[in-house]
Amino acid sequence: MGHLEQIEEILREEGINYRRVEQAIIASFREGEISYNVIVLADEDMTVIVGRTDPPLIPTAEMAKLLLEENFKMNFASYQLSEDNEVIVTSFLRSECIGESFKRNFYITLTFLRKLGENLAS
Amino acid sequence: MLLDEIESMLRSAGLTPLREEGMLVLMIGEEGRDVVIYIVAEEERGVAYVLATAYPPLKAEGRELDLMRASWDLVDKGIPCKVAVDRGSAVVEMDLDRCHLKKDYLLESIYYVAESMLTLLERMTHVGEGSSDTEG
Repeated sequence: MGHLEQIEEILREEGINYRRVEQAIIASFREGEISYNVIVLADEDMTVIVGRTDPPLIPTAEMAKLLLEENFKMNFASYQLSEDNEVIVTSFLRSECIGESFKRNFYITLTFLRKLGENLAS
Repeated sequence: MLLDEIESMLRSAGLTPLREEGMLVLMIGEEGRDVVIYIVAEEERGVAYVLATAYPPLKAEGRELDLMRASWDLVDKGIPCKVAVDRGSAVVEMDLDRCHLKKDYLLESIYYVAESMLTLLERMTHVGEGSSDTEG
């Protein structure tokens, strides 16, 4: 079984709706006015989970400070700032650790995204 | 003990970490810039944290947006680090659970956090010198 197939199996077991688009897995969640979009990519070595909100969160300097402090407190995922000044959440794991670590990293990515959603809603 | 295992992996790779206050410490210097690597283990969770800070520390104040952009650039190049701020200073970190606590991954993590911190130092020095771009 390939890495993406292994991830698909985990998502199915978790009851998460996803789409497979070539070499990516895409899952979307909607909570109120905010959508959370997660893309999972995997090669032989690494698996990366990338999450973003819709609408995007464009942070102020003060918010960036809080997000960087949050990065220190939280584990297994982090906030970044894309070229479009949009906050993105990323989480990495070794592809050989998908079975042990993917589920945790996936849900942590969602936790990070929901915190962004709270900022957007407030 | 997890930290003993990690220390043993490092020593078998020819590294000689200092052990201080429940953490392993390595110093890496390049062209007059020093990076301190700390490895902390959380026994109950089976997780180790590999952290890099600059010496002297890279102050984050007023550069938070630039740090977040630099962090994305590192990730975009496939470097699986996170950039964070602790007590006003920039930190690069990788979190390793049991599955990731293997000698090769550990050494690669040390390389990634050290290299990332050196990249941040280089980039933030230029930001400090020439740009006031701290707003998104």
